[in-house]
Amino acid sequence: MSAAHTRIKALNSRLNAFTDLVVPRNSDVAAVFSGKTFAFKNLYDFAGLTTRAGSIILADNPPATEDSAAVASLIAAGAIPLGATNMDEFAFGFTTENSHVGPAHNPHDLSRSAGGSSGGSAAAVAAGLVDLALGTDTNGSIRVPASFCGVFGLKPTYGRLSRRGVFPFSTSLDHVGLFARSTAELAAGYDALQGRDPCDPMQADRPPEPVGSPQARPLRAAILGGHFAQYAGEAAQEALAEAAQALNATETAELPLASAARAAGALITYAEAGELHRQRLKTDRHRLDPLIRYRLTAAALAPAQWYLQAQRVRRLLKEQMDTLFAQYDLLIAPAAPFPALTIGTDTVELNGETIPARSAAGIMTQPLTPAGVPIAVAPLWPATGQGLPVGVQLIARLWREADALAAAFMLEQAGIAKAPIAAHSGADL
Amino acid sequence: MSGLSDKAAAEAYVRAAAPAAGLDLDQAEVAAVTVQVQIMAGMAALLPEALADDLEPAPRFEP
Repeated sequence: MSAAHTRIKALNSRLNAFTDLVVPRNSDVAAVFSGKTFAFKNLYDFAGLTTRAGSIILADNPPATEDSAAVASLIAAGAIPLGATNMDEFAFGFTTENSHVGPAHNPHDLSRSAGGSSGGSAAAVAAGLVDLALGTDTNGSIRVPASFCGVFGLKPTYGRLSRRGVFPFSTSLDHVGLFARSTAELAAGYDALQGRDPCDPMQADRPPEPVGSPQARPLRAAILGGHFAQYAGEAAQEALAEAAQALNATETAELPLASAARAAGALITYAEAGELHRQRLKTDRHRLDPLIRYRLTAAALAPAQWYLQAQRVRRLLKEQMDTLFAQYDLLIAPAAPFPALTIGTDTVELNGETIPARSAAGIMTQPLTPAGVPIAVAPLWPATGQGLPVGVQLIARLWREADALAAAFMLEQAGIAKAPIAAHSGADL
Repeated sequence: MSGLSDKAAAEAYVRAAAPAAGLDLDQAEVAAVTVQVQIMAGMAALLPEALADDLEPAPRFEP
């Protein structure tokens, strides 16, 4: 048992961030991540471990016979895997309130959610249990946990990274991505994950474009208004204003399709996830987490008309984004409308509306995913957050992850974005 | 696109569509799934109704 595993075991009874510990192994070569550790959401294949995707239905599956591409890439870069992390069942949620294994707790306030669906990964990084963690993002599942847990996150361009060996959720929206406590480690992790994988038919046919160490650079930045301003709570507005000032973003840009794009993202996800799980729904739906059982069953019945219309909206969204990116290099918006929710919260008040809390957590991220653009999240600490972070989305044009990471670096350099190891993560141990 | 926001229409849809999907739902499930279909219908109502005929769906996002 390594010292790192001992610490995880000591803290995990509070955090419930890890679902499995794995025997550490790493490449023999001295590489960029020598000595650095990582965790992976338990929908990534790891040789010898059953990939459960947060579900007891998959628990009896045989162990994976080989590593997912992302896990293999980090190991090849010298990083050491320590374990698999908690998540919403089948990635269908924004809060990692998994009834099978219990919720992941936020290291900054144990009564709060870590966000989801990659909540265990974000919590593990925020608690200092690992240096990096792999997550996935379909509607915000990296960006919301990064915001709630106060860590840096990156959802690269759709199709950039190989998804080989990753249990799917919604294939036309699923992204591989990661969390870290600094932009330097985030960028290095992202570079390690790049590379053409002929075994992934959905990966774009592009050569790696390493970003190296993030550097400050002039970026024409604008704030996303409309939908994003409408639903941003006080702390999110404060975080956004701080980021805007640091990035010299004085103009507001409108994305008129934002609300429709959010609906499109949800409907695409429903249709694809419903079909993915249709056979399981026939026989095993009673074993599903109550939070997703009926949603997933309804999803399996979604009319094709909704799905196709949503995919067409996605095309329009891309056109609107292209128009904005003809004028700006970077768009910024909150990553969540509020700081981390208290676990078990059912509804919230936003913009005068009572909204289901678990879907509201993704109200800032979901409209953007269908555009496929790269988005980094930088954790800010507004005074109105009362000690809790709120992330800011740094949205760049397609394939320009370097711009999103540069913006995150500039906020880090300005001292307003930071990811300190959480005080509640066991300094007393 | 929003016709299934209506509870009766949504329930009728669930009863008709579930067998086609191979799902044998009991009464309680029909009721719970109907609520979810109504929520999805609310989302569908947010999609623009009229789109150009030549606007192709984008299941594979290719910049």
